[in-house]
Amino acid sequence: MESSDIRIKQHPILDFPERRKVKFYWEGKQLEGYEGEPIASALHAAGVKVLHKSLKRGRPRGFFCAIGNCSSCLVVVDGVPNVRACTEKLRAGMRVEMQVGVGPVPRSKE
Amino acid sequence: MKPDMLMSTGVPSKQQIDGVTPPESRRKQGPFVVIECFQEIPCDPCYHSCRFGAIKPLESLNDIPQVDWDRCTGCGICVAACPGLAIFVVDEAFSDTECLIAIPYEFVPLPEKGDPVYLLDREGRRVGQGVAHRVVPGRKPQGTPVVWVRAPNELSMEARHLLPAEKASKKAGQASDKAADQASDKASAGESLTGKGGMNCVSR
Amino acid sequence: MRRTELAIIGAGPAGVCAALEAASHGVRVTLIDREEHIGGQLVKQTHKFFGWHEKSAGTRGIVISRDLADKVKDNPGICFMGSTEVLGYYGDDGVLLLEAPAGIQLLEPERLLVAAGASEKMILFPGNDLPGVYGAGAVQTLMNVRGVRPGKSVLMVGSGNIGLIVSYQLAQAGVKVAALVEALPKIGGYAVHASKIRRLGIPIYTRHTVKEAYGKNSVEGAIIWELDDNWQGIPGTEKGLDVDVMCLATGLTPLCEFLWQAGVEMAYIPELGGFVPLYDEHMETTVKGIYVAGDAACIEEASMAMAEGRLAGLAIARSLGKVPDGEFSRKREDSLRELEELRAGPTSEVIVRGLAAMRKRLEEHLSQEHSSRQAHQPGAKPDAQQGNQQRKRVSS
Ligand SMILES: Cc1cc2nc3c(=O)[nH]c(=O)nc-3n(C[C@H](O)[C@H](O)[C@H](O)COP(=O)(O)OP(=O)(O)OC[C@H]3O[C@@H](n4cnc5c(N)ncnc54)[C@H](O)[C@@H]3O)c2cc1C
Ligand code: SF4
Ligand code: SF4
Ligand code: FES
Repeated sequence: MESSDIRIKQHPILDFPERRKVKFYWEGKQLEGYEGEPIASALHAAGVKVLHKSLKRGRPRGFFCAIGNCSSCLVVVDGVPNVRACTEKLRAGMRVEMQVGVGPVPRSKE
Repeated sequence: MKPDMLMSTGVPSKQQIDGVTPPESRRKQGPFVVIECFQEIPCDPCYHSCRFGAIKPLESLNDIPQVDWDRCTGCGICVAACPGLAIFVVDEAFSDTECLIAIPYEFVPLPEKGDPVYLLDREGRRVGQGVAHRVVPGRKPQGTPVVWVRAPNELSMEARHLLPAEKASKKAGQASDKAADQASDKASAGESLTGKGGMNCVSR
Repeated sequence: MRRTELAIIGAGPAGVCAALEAASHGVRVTLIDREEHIGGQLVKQTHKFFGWHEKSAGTRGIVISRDLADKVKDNPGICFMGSTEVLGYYGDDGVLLLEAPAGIQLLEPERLLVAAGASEKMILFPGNDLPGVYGAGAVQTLMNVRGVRPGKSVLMVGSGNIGLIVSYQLAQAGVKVAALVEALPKIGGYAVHASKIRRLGIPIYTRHTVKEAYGKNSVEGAIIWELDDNWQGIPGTEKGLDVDVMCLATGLTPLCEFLWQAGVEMAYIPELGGFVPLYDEHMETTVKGIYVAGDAACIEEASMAMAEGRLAGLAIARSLGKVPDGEFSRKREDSLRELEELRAGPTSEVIVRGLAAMRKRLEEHLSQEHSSRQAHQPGAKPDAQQGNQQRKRVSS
């Protein structure tokens, strides 16, 4: 599915008004999403499904519960690991990376 | 015990449908309601929606609604009020060849008056073609739009869902008018283009 | 440390109705939810609800939740703390640990109501950890709250009301539902919901389950097969489905970690969704002053969650000495009658059986406790520490 089709524009019950678009980075690549939506929803809309690689066997993981319960969606945001992509809000310029296992030791922000 | 057809397939049996169809004499007289709600569930908006007292008072919330055919005017108010989308109105006296069927339709795009539509039966099979005769749009977000379709007479008790027909020509020129887009629009009513139901099964 | 008369964990229909009822009697309420919005599950429910006409039947979940949110905002007796997660409950001190946007906070309530709802059950099959396998709640959140389609084609697993309704909602969002599978020989949810999706052409396979989901980095397809009488897959009945999403609607189980932490007696009652707290007819658990309502008490519908919330709110206000006898018994009767009638039909038989089993366990527990108290020193009931002495037990 192309990203233009993945966002719902017409719905019989709901309205999804246009919101402010912001640019962010996924694995170094620039993508666009709506400001304030969860990172996971912006990534999903951009066609990214694998967010995390499991600790032991490196199996791909995406989100599962989407409400912060299951930790299936952990990513590294601006160098900080173990951020739940399904609850963390998207901000302009965010650098998001796939987390492998427990992720890197957190970098302190300059 | 084997579960009945309704509870194993989601499709009511012929006997169940016959049980909610009025007698022949009443059918000839004009529009009547068909309440396809066969299970005792805690629910009563149909009763409250009818201003003509055609849906009999429920003794208990879980009772199955019963119709007083003499009082039903076929106005269709209850069609939009039923949360189970289980109510239809059928008018077999509409013309010699065609009937009218009121169908709740919570999908986009909503057909406009005069648009051709495909008619689907209770299993989502395409059984014929009709025309949107009257469209009562619902107010977002609460309303349920109701489409009154003109259908061949013999489909009065068969057709229970619709799909906009000939959308490709109507939508021509739009940027999103791609084959894939059409496919997903069809799928918006869960139906495959083949009319065999929305299955995409390959036996292995 | 902040204090409040009543802390409620969860601003779903149960928590909100409890808050409104308690506040109407002058109780000062702190209503906590980790989401920013009020309404719990209702904010994702685009379909119209069943129940009583007077109690918002026929109204869409999203509309009910807006209504409830407005009422909470207009109520000066309720302090709503959104985007605030309850991390734990320290039973001995009677203190809640909260993570609010402003940071970690402690809250000491005189009464606690757990209305945290439920969590989804997982099922086992090869590939169930692949991206593209989502819980039904996640699919709903993504499409109905965020406006993002979960994929192109979905296999729905489970024919309870949630599986049926989410299938319908997927179709409304323009997503194809390739099939719905159900392991039991019978559809679990309401017939009207099942008929609704059959008309759309969505096939329902009862006595079928998932054999596996496959794909390299995410779901590329799934294989389903038929089950025999011993719940074993029948070789040769496999069907391949071209799907990129699998949506699991295989049941819910009460979220009651805080009740465990508080030392509430729990029991495994499958009819009610798994481990549930023991509670009396006023929704009070075995620890005085701690109440439960909604899906956290037993997996049911929003109509029941609301009625239970009102009942709990009333009982709590009463236990704080804020409701006169006459009003209490009248309102109490109303709520109990409402619950009884909601559960009168065949679709609630399982719940009624489960509730009876739960009450039996409660009685056993109370009589055990009673006899052990008589045998040892009177008054040294372990639950009754933590400043509970001033907490009067609601007459029951
Ligand atoms: C797809 C679907 C369809 C449904 N259809 C119907 C229907 O047609 N009719 C009907 O009557 N019912 C329906 N229901 C059921 C209904 O939604 C639930 O029974 C009802 O929402 C339960 O209410 P609740 O208040 O107990 O829990 P919830 O609505 O789940 O609310 C619980 C709240 O607690 C919060 N929470 C949990 N843990 C914490 C924590 N640690 N800290 C802070 N907050 C926390 C959550 O964020 C949530 O907002 C449906 C449910 C689903 C999923
Ligand atoms: S069609 Fe009109 S008159 Fe007939 S039952 Fe429905 S609301 Fe009543
Ligand atoms: S409103 Fe619809 S679902 Fe409810 S009882 Fe009436 S017919 Fe059945
Ligand atoms: S998907 Fe479960 S925590 Fe993010």
